[in-house]
Amino acid sequence: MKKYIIISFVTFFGVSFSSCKKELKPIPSTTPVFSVSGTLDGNPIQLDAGDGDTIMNAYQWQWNNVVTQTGMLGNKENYIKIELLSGDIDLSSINSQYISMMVVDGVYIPSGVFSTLNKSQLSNANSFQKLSWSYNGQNLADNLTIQEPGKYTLSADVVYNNGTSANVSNDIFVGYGSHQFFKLETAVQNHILTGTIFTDEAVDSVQWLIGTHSVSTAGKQVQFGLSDSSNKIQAKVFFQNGLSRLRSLVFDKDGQTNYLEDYVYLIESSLQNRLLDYKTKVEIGINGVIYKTEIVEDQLDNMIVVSKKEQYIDQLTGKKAVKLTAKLHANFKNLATGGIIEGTFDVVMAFPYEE
Amino acid sequence: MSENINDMDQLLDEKISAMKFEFKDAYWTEMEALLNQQKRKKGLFWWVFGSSTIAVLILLLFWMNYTPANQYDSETIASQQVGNNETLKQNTEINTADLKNQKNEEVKNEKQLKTNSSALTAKTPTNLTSKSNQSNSTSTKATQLNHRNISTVNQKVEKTDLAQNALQVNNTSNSSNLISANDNQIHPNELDKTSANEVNDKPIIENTNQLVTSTNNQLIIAPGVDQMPILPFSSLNKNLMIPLSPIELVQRKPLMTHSFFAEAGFGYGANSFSKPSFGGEKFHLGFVYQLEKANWGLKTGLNASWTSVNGLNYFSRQKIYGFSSSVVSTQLNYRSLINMVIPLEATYHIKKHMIGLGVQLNVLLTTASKSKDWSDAQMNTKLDWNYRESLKPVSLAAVFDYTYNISKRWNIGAAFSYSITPVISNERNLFNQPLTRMFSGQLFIQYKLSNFKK
Repeated sequence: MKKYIIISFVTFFGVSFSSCKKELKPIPSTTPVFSVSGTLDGNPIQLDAGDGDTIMNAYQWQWNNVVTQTGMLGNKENYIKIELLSGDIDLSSINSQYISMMVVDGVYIPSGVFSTLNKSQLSNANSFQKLSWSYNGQNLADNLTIQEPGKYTLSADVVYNNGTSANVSNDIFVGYGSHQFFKLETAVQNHILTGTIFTDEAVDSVQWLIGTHSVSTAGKQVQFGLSDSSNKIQAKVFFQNGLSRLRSLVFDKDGQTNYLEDYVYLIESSLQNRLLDYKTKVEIGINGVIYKTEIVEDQLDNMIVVSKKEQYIDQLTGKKAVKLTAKLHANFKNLATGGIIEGTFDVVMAFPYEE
Repeated sequence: MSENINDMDQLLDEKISAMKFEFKDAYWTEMEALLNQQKRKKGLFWWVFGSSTIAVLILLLFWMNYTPANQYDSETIASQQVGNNETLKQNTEINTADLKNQKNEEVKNEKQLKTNSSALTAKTPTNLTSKSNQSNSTSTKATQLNHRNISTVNQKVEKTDLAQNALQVNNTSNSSNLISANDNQIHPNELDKTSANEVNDKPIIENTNQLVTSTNNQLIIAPGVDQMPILPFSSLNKNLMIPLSPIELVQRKPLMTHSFFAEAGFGYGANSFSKPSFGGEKFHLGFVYQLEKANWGLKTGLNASWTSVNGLNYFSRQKIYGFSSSVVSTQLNYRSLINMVIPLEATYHIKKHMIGLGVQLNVLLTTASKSKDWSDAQMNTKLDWNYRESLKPVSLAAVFDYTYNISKRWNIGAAFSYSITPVISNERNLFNQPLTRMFSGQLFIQYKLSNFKK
């Protein structure tokens, strides 16, 4: 009798314990992930990615050689587009940093001239017979005017009064801050050039190059003898933050009148610079009418405040993104009428993310 | 054997006819000594024999799975032997004790013995105690028994020439009717009043095939049973031999019969008779325990039930949100349901027919299904186990069954069940299942593994 009872229990309880219930794999999300809900001038707006033809589109946009992170939620008629501008465009790992820094920055996109450089601003302006600027092979006006922020390689072609000429190119950052900002000052006496680096960043070393002669120093100053009729002087500064930046100048043998000083410093130190660091551009389209963020004087509450930042992997595409949960409050300009209206939104949107 | 017995009968007749019954005090003294010796030996023997028999039989019953037929016989024999042992012991005690006390009375009965001895031809020796002055009522009853020619047992023995032959013959159906013996009437004069009354209240059994022979100074009394399988006399040479008691035919209380069966069955299960049906073949395999007393009983068990289903689908369509959305159809096509079934039924049987009515608990152990599972942004279709979407883990069903006993070990029958509680949950998107209760009919066969009565 016992053995049958034992066999029975072993059989059935064995089967029971081995039969752990299996569940269908849960579907990633059956409710909208990305959404924007709020009011624009008192009118409610609700956009959910996945409903109808509304989609969440996250993409990178390169604007004058500066990559921006853009999220656009909506369809052709109704959408909201948020563009995140970096404050660390010269750093390698910019994405994670600028997103976290967004919390404290306002929504503001300046318009107009970002930077200007007139020949008269140069200390030896009277020595130039001609000074012209070029960018990517395109000649610019003599009085340099930069109307969009970006990262440029700006070339200067100069003809001195004695007919000699020189050419030099340098990278400039317009509208964004730089962690490798410095000024290179030069002075020539008795054909001896003294170069000095001025910067608030910690310098590791400086590599100097004159013609084919080069020297590395731990200090920020160096002296060279000018021998050739035209000398290109380069200083590559290695900062302790890991960045390095090259600055190029030209001098003739005399070095007293014919030279082209550090124009990069003149451009980057202008007042309009760094305005776009960590800023956000917002554009809303409602039934064909476009609204853009517009700064209103004395109004400081144009803000997008990020409350949550998390990595998101889309199950359909396998693509990674940064999902930001934020509150947005800003003034928008109706581009059709010019009127300023107020908008407030709860935002959950995706932005591109690359490790 | 038959010839020997006939010869023996003839010899006995001759010897008995030639017997002279003389009573001397010395006889009794000698007999008393023998009885004292016999008392010690027999008491020990029967205690050991009885205890061993009981122990062996218990072991046999519970651990060696006696077959039902043999088991019943064994139980009967065991019961009989136990009864015999008890009676034997009782009789022995009574006999030896009373014989001591009746020494004087026996002397007084000498003449009566002599007189009655001549009546041995009538196969009925005179009851020694019929003239006992200890109990007039007992004597009277004993006398009545004699008048009815009903077996009576002599406890007092005379030396005879026949004893010198040391002839001992067991009782057989053909043995001579030398003495009609019934141990229920042993020494009614030597029993106390209560014992005598109890004895005489018992059913009286007429025994016609008894044989009494005597060995040296012994009276050997054959058992009063027609078919006694074992006569434990062989070891009692030179000792007083007491008949085994007959089979007790007193009415017993009905025994509880515990039976264990292995059961297998097949049939068809469906969601009632509605359309569309998701039913299919059904098989089960397991064990059944049955408890019976008289005609009524209880039946329970444990079995695994496999039901093939076709058309039992779980289906859901869900939108997956992300950057955009997509619609994912989740689908399970159940193919098999495997349940653990625990029935509990009341049964009633008449002869070989038995019906049962009760409930059965169905516990869903696992399923086999063709699943479309969401995995790695794709829908994978595969045959899988143990999905239970929209299925109730436990359900209850009413069950009715009929069982026919075709042999000692084999039963066949049919069972029908209908769900009392739903087997399908409609909480989720299970569609095309208007009814959620299952009906099933099955034929089954049972094999009796063991049973015992208690």
